[in-house]
Amino acid sequence: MFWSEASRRTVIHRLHPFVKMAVGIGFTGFALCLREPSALALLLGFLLSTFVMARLRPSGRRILFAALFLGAVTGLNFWAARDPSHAAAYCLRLAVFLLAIPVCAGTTAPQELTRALARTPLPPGMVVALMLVWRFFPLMAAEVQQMRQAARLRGRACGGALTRLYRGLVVPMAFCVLDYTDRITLALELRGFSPEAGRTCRRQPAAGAADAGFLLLALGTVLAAGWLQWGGGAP
Amino acid sequence: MIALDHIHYAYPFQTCKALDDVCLRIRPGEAVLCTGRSGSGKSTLARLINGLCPHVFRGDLRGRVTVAGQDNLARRISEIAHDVGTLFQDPEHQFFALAVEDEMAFAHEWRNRTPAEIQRRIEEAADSLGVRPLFGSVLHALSEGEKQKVALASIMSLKPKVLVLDEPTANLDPEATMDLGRHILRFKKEGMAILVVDHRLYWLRDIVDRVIVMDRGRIALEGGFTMLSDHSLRAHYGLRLDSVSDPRPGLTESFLHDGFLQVEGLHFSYRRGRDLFNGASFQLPRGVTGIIGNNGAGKTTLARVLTGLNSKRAGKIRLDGKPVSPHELLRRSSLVLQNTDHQLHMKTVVAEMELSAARVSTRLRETLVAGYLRDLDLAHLVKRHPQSLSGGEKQRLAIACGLAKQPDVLVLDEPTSGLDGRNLQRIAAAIRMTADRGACVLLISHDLELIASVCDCALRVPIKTSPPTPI
Repeated sequence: MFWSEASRRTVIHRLHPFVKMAVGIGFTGFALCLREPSALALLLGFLLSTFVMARLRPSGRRILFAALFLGAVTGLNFWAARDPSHAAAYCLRLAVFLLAIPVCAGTTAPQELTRALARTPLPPGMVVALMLVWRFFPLMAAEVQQMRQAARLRGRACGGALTRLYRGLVVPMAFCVLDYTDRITLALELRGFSPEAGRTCRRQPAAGAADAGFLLLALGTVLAAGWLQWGGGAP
Repeated sequence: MIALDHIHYAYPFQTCKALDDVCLRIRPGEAVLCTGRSGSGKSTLARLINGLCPHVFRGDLRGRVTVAGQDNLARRISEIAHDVGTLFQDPEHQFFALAVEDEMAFAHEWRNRTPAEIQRRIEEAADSLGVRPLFGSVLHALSEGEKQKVALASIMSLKPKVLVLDEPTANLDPEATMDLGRHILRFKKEGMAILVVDHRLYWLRDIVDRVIVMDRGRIALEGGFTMLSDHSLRAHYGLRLDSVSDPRPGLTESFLHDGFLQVEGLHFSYRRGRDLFNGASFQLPRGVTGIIGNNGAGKTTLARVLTGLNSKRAGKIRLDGKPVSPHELLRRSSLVLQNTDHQLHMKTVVAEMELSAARVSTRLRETLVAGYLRDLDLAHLVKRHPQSLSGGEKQRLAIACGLAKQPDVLVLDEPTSGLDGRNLQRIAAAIRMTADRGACVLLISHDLELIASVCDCALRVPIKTSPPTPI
């Protein structure tokens, strides 16, 4: 994950995944339409407040990396356009992109998202596929780490860097994926999975007052940013 | 409950039969152990009962398999699954969800049950197997024993009439194994028909009613558990011991022996994680040291630090009295990981072995490689692609590669899980030979038979402060 989660679940963590997803995607899309730095700053302010409320703690190294990256992009932009307002808008837009989706993803447990997806009228095969993809990532991350360690144990005798990468990671990964697919298919069959069967959902995340409040605040921010951009707020 | 009548079965594109005229009956409330050497047809028997053969694996089946009074061929596998629950060796590969409760609810949701009924069933199963404290946990953070329990609870919540356990204890520690045994006894009393396919025998002594020994696709022997106490019979069929006393308490501590690998003030923690080792000092002699501890205690991490794979935060490591860097440790050590698939990189078995023995002089290499291939019964497979080998063969090849490097420090992580008695003895002999050569062998294993047959001393994790050992 981009940053570590605080151990305690905050109100942001408890929001409906689709609400967070809508705000994240909405803010990213809306930032593309804005050119006024104050309007973009407002969006960024909302995201930063969400970030603080969620008690996410980025590591010092990541903050430094993000600051250097944004600084470099702003500097290059200013050097090319000689327009401080343009450079500031670029920097703020980039900051919104860097924060919007990750803030939502970082506060949504994958199981919450799969539960929410299970409620949608997607075909059963697709829901299972999405669930397995979520399962697949942590599993594959652990496998890749083991493969890299096994390759390190083999050392340089195994060939040049590209050969080592091919033999040590690409080939074992291919076999690993095939093996995983094979096993999970068998396990699905043995649990009685049938794509034609209907399904229920034991626990579905339900939208509540907090979700409505969060959406209203986000909408208010978007309207205010829009007014700053087009409604005469801009100088 | 289960009836197999004159079953002949061959996998697709195979000329020899996997099962040859097999007849078997298992009544409700009866538990049967199916054992035999690797490749004898045990898993195929289990697959016929749960419907994987021939519904998924295809192949040619003659004879009739009946479960709960219904012919398996006449039903779809999803219908057979209503009567038969199957538990595999590695539960990680049969999970679909990320959280414990979601996993337990998965199969019920696909059976269109109401949320209230699902909740009632998973709570009932969780209570009976002691899984409720794990509710709210993420599956991949659980220990192997806990994962196995969750998988079993998921199956039991479906209330199957038949339970098939395919090597269920291969990744379990002895305590979790005995716990599984107690649950099987209870399921028997509840009237389930149970088939256990396993190489480990000792834990089933007072649990199973009958034992069948498979050999080349046929039921070679059938009888009570006591027939397994015949040493010559076990040797003939490549079986493991029928009774094992726990050797762990009797092993002397490693610090009482002369230290070859000495560690002082070891500090290690994963990024943002708790300290796994906080100033630990210990020494490991030449010979075989068992690293003993519960799952999650840090045994594998210790092995990684001692082989130079993970860098310690602080501390000194000396080999034969001389300080060594992680790079030097990597060069002079071998680590055989649990998942052997990741360690096999070459196109043939012999190329794999020659790569491992790259540091041995050319004159000796050929003899050395041939010797290890012969000792671990791999000589007939030299031209095969390593990834085309069976699980047991891959395991033996990874160990042979570890040995062929001629390391000063050899670490083996669960080297015998899922291996039959004959292969266990082969590996034990190879480990002993390496130790006798003067290497420091560290063995991480829950396999009591292997610990009993090779370990000279023990290092218990978490490491307690040992008496001062001047470096």
